[in-house]
Amino acid sequence: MITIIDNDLGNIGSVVRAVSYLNIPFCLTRDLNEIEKAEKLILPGVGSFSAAAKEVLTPQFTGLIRYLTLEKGIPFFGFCLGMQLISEFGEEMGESKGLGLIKAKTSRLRVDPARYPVPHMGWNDVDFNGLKMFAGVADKSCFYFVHSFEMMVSDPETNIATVNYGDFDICAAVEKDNIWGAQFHPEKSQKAGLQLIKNFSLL
Amino acid sequence: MLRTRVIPVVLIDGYSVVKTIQFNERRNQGNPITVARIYNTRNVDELIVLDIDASVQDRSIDLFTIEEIASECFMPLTVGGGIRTLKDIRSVLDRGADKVAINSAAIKTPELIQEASSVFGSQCIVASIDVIKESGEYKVFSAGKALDMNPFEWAIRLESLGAGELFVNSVDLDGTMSHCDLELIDKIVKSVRIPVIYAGGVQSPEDFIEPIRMGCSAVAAASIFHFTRWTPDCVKRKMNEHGIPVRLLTTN
Repeated sequence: MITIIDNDLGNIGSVVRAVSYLNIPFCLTRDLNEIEKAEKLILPGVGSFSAAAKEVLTPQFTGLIRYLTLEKGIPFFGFCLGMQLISEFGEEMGESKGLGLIKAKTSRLRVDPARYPVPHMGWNDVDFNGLKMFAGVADKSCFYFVHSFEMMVSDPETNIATVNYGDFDICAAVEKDNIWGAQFHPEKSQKAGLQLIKNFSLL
Repeated sequence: MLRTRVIPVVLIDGYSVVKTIQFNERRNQGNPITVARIYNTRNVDELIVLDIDASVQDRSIDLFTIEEIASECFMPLTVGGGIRTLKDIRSVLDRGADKVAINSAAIKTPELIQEASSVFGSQCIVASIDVIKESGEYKVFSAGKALDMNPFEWAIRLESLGAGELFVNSVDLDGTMSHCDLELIDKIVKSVRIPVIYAGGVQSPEDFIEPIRMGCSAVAAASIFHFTRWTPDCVKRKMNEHGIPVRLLTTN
């Protein structure tokens, strides 16, 4: 059973549809008592780090997610903003604190916006190394991205995939023990994306 | 490398898929859910679904249809037609859309674009402009007539209000399968920095190439995929031959 955190951060509907299409049992909730019982967690999201940090990352919520993932070790998968939120902090409109599940910060895309449109939107090739997350995915597969911020990871081993945009290699996915994150949208990336969700469900 | 998108457009009149010629004459193309399902199995980059009668008939797009389309649509889905309020946007997003296209409502209330992009993010808000040429001058077209509005100034305004993409339709070339309006494209892409999606008049895979070279981020089309043997993948193979990076079926 996967618990999908319903947090008003965007396209929950798409995530639910992808998980149900794969016949994976799930529950959708924002109730902390329900989340506490989770065996696996998906944190979806589209939009702004600072708004999300303010609205969603209450001390209770942050404390619970940190306990479940870092102490209890349950598998966690963040999509797009849901990945960025596992950083220690985000640099958008001042600094706001993230969940701090891995050593990383989230800041504005380094690209020159005069030459490359921001958000980075569309299908782009992902360079990954064959860890658990990308099992069964063809090399150089494309995934769907929509984001204006990028995560800068301190430990290079955690950064398991990159995407090139505007002359920069941007973090496309992170994996550290039970904690996974994807900057792209697995739920909107056709077969390759669905494969990642399936791989997560098999953990 | 970012891949250039080819986007099929599905126009509906409430319940059935239709294809118009110059926004007027119509031909029925069947059930929208079936049409969307075919595009999903063809692994297209993105899908745009527009209810072309919703605004004129002052009603909302049918949410059941959107939900059915989205249930097997694992690519970005843009939905438009009759979107007037933040509540309308929320309800189509809840049914599985990823972005909304706003056209008539933005003309009446430009602030909607601003509010919507601040609530849902710019990436979610596609501003749509229909353009017609009248006595040699480009004008915004809405509810069956040309308005006294310059489409390029309007595009700049929409961008400054927070639209994340611009979807530009040539009314004159709609459904004609003749050629693209390159003059219109040139003027639009020089007006704004946000991604521009052009639609109107493509006849063959070759027609998708020039708009991209001129600076469009994507080309959208309906008739060519309804009425000819060309599929989105055929089009992208042709673009690939001309050095435009695309996402082909075999490369996911």
